[in-house]
Amino acid sequence: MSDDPEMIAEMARIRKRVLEYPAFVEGLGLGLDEVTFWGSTPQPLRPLHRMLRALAGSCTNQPVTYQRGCAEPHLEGRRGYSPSGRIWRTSRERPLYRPSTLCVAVGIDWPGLRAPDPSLAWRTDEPVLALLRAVRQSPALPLLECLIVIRQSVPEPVTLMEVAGAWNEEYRSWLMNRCSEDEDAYVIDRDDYGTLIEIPAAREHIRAVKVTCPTTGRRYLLRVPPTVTTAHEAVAWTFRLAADEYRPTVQS
Amino acid sequence: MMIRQGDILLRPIPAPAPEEITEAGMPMSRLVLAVGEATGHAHEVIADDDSILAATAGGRALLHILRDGAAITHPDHDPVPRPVPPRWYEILRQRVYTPAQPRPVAD
Repeated sequence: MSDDPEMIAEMARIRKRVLEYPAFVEGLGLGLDEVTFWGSTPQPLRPLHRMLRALAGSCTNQPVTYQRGCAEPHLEGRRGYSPSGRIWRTSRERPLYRPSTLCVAVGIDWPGLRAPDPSLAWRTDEPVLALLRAVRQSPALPLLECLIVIRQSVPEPVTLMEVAGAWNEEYRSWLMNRCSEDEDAYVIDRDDYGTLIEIPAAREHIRAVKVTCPTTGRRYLLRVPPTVTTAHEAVAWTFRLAADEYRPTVQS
Repeated sequence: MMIRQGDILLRPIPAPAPEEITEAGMPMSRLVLAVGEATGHAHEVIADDDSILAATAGGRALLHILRDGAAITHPDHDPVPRPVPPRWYEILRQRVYTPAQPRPVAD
């Protein structure tokens, strides 16, 4: 969690105002025609989201236009690969939101978040406190009538099921260190590549491989298809390879 | 030599035929292989001279190391202990299973 007293105080003020939400919105006098949600939607906050949707009548996270600019300033001038398999240019298009947009950011603060960066205000998937810090420094600020940020606390101990449901591998790794040994999970296979486990769940059992990074020592939990039967096969699958094709010579 | 650094795997492949290449950049001395969404940290190949060539072929990300001396770096990982041997590689990004469809890892 953040140690910044100013940030903590501001979060407390925002949380209080959100809990008094209808009066808060009336007090702002916003003509809301759009609600934009940033961040994840944790289960305990779904009633709030429903209320916001009902109030605004619609919910969208679609930007109205785009602006040219580098979304990763610290990588300015570099080249790489995009997730869609194209050679990546440093200048990406970033979304520009409509004025009078009410933005609701819901999420969990965790230590893996990068340092504040004004460009992050343009990202819709940014974890919540980085987003709040960024928006306060950003040219996006005048465009937003209101930003509501809700920080969730992480329950302890964390169960493997909660770890498996986390959206980000680094965040998941951080959760893993707070994870109690789950009595319901059982080991299917263990070898030099990791430990393949299955976590019973009501709808579909979750099969996942627990691995440890050789240099950072961080533990990760990677979900794999239910057809995988060995830890070696599981790790190979995560790289689109068969077990006999996956033999890394060097790792770091 | 198959090289792994975190969620990135460099898999040696035979040199692709010219007609297989869909996009190719100019040789460079620094190339970003992947960027972490939350941390902003990047896996990069770095060389002393312009000996790194990025290319794509049918949606696959390819890497051609032209000469000895290239290294893979990342702020959170130790450097890969050996230089990357000159040859063609396919860059494989780790993925995770979801019931709908596999998705690349987000870090």
